Amino acid sequence: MTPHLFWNNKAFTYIVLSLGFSAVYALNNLLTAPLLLAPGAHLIHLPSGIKFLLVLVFGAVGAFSIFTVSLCAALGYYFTGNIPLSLELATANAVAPLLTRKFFIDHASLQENLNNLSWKTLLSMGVMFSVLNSSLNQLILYWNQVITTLTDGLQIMLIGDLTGVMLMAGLIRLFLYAFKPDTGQMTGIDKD
Amino acid sequence: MKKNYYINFLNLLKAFETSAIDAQLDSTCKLILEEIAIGVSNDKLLTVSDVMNLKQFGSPATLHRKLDILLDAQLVEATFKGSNRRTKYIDLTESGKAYFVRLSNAIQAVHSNGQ
Repeated sequence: MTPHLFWNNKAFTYIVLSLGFSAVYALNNLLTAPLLLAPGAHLIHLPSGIKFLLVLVFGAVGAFSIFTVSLCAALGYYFTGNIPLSLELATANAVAPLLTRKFFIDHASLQENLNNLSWKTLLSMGVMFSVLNSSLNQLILYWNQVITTLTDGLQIMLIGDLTGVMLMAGLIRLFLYAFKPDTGQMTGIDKD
Repeated sequence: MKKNYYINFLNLLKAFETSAIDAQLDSTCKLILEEIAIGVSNDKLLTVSDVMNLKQFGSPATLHRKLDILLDAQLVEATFKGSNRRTKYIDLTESGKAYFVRLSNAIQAVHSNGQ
């Protein structure tokens, strides 16, 4: 696999992202199974953070990867054989980060290539994505009578998405901070 | 321009690395901050009046507004010297010093990569 192919060939990008995301999704569900407190609602959901970042960078290709993985997970595991519900959930999972990205580009002057993306904007986007994602997912589950009360699942999933997004962002920032090369030379300004 | 995911990725990393302070500073703020830093490094702190007199960077009203941004961003602070409570001096805060250390490190990194 060459990096050039990954960054420039949409089909290849889609395949790699789908495989990568499905691995993370499966691992998260395995590790945080006790935290699945309501249908479709983990208390900590790291894939939400990854989902958000994937769509932020890869746009529609990232969203399509998420759609594919969500559809497979719903059809094959959570709601076996229920095609309409699986399609609805997969669409919601792909649309939530895509809508967040589009909203910030259209209404908050975010550039398409993220050139003016700041840490503050990133966190605001994370909050908007979490609200959208949890609302859409829980509304679909409620609409399809998988859950009977909307608020319980919504609260848990919102917390799960928020912690997932914030943990992911924090971990990446920590990683960059820890492994950033430090040349160690100071300017004359710091006189201490 | 054709969509380039790698550029998006680099910009995302940049957002993780830079603080919100960097994003809100425009070029005038940075020029004023540099003048203040030069004053600090020469042990000759600029006063608020000195900053207002940096006419090459803008009108006093603009300079005042930009100085407020720097104060709000906690990159600089207004201090008094001794018992003189009439003159306000502008000094770099720890964040302000860290900002220049970060710039210095970036230049060092570019320099060492070029060798």
